[in-house]
Amino acid sequence: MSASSGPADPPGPEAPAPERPGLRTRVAETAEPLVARAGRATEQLGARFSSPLHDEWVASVLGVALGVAFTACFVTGLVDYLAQHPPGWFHLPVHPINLYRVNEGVHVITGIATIPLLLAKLWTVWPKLFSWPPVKGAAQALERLSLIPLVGGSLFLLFTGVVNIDYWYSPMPFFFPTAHFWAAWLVVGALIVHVGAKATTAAGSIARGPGPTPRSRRSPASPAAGRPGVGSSSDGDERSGLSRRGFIGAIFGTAGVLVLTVAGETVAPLMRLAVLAPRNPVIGPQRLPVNQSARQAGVTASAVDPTYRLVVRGRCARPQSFTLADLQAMPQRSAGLPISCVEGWSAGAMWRGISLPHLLGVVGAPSGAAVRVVSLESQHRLYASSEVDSAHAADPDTLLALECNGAPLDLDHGYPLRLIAPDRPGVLQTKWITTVVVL
Amino acid sequence: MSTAPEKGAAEPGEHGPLFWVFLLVGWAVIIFAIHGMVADRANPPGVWKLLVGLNIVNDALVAPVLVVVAVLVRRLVPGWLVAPLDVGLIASAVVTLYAYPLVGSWGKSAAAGYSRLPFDYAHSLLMVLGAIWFACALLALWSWSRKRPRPA
Repeated sequence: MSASSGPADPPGPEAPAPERPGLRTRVAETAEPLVARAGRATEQLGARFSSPLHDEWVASVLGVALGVAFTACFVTGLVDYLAQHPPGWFHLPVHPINLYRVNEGVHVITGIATIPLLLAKLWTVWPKLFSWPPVKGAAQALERLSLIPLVGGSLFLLFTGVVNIDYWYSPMPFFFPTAHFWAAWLVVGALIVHVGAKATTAAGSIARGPGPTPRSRRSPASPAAGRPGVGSSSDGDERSGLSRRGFIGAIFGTAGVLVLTVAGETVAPLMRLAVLAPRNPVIGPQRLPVNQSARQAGVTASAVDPTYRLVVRGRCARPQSFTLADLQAMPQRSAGLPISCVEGWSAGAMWRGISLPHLLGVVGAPSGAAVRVVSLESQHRLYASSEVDSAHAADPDTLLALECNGAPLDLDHGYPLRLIAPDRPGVLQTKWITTVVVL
Repeated sequence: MSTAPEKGAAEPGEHGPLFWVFLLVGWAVIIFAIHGMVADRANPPGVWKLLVGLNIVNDALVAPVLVVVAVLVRRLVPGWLVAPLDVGLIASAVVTLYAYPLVGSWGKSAAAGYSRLPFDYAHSLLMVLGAIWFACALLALWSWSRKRPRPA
C-alpha cells in the first residue's frame, strides 16, 4: 500500500504505463506477510507453554528411558521373529529351556511399560510443533522428516502390539508379525537419526539436572512457599502442578502399575495381581491356556477318529505307522516344559509322552536328522506344520506328548498327540500331530 | 510430532561428523525397512495409513485435549490438590487407554474357548483405578497437611 493518500496525478501522454507485477510476484507479495504472521502466531502459541514439564531435562530423561525400552523390545522382537520364521542359519538353543519364555516376557512387558513413557515424551515435546521456522536447512529437514516414522512408528508398534495381545485383529489390515517387524526396523532407523541429532543435548541436560522450576506466569505465589505439596513445583508455586521430578515419578509409577497388573501372565509370583492380563497361566483346560482350540483348527472330528495313525516317513530305514495304542505302549518320558506364546503369556506344565529321539531310533533315522511334524489341520493354515531342528530333535526332553499334568491331552491341547520341546515358540509346538517327516 | 530444534541443539551447518554418520546410517535403515515392508507384502499403504493416522491423532486430538484438562485443573482446583490430581489423571488415563480393548472384549471368541480374555475387565479396570485414586487421596491428604499453617 502506498504511503501517499492523495489522488494520483494522471500520467502525461509521454509517461509509460506502470507495469503490472507478474502473477508470481503478486502471489509472493501477498504470501510473504501471511507466512510471517503465521510464523509469529505459531511462535506466540509455542511460547504460551510455560509448564516446566515441557523442558529439555524431562524430554531427555524420558528419551533415554525410551531408548533403553525400545532397544530391549527390538532385540527381543528380533529373536522372536527369527524363532517363529527361522532362516536356515538361525536356531534357538535347546537350553536353557526358558530362554524364549523370558525373551517374550521381556518383549511384551517392556512394550506395555513403554506406553506411559512414550505418551509423556510426546506431551513434553508437543509445543515444539509450533516453533518457527520448522526447518532451517537440508540436514535439519532430513532429521525432522525422520520424526514421522519415529513418532508414528512408535505409536504404531505399541498400538498393534497391544491389540495383538488382546486378540483384536480388525484394526490391523495386515499380517501382524510382518508389519510389526518392519515397523520396528523403521523406528530403529529413525531412532538412530534422532540419537545422532539429540545425544549431545540430552547428555548435557541430564548432567545439569532439572534445576529450579520456573514460576508459572499466571499463577499467584502460594502462601505455603517453601513447603511445596507432594510432587509439586519446588519453588512452592503449587498451582503450576507437578514438578519435573514429580512428573517423571508419576510416569514411571504408571509404568509400574501396568507391569504389576499384566506381568503375572508370565511371572508366576505376580499371577494374582495380573487382573489386566489377557491370559492367566492357570485358566484353561488342564489348568493351561489354549491359544488355538480344536474347533478353530477344524479338527474336532479327525482328532478323535478311531482310525487315527501316526505316520513316520522320510529319510529313515523303517518308515512306520503307529496306532494310539502302539504309542501308549512305547517307553514314556516326563518333562516339565513351558508353553511360551508370542503374545507374552507362558505357563509351565508336566508333559508325558514319547521322546522324539527314541521314536527316531525306532524308525532308523540317521543321527542328527531334523524333522517336520504335520498337524491334522488343513495344510493351508499357518503353522499347520513345523520343523524341528536337529538339536531339538536329538534332545530327550523333546516329546510327542500324550498327557499333560497327569491326564490324557485335552482335545484343545492337541489330543491325541502333540509336540512339546524345550525353548520353542508356542505356535511351533504343533498340536494334533499325524505325520513326522524325517528330513 | 516435534519439528523444531531443541534449545542448545546445533544450528544448521554446525552439525558434527557424528550427526552425519547417524543421519546416513539411520536413513539407510529406514529405507531398508520400507523395502522390507514392500518385499514382504506387509501391506505398506495399510501400515502407513495407521502410522500417520496415529501421529495425527496424537498431535491434533490427544495433546490439545490434555492441554484443556491441564488448564482446567489449574484454574478450578486448590493449589495443594493439583499435583495429586495430576498424578491420578495421568495414571488413570494411561491405564484406561491400555485396558480399553480388554474392556471392549473385541478379541473374545466362543470358538477360542474360555482361557482367552478370561476376566471381567471392566471390573478389573475399576479395581485398578480405585487403587490409583486411593493412593492419590493419600498423597492429597499429605499435601494438604503440609499446607496447613503450623501452630506457633
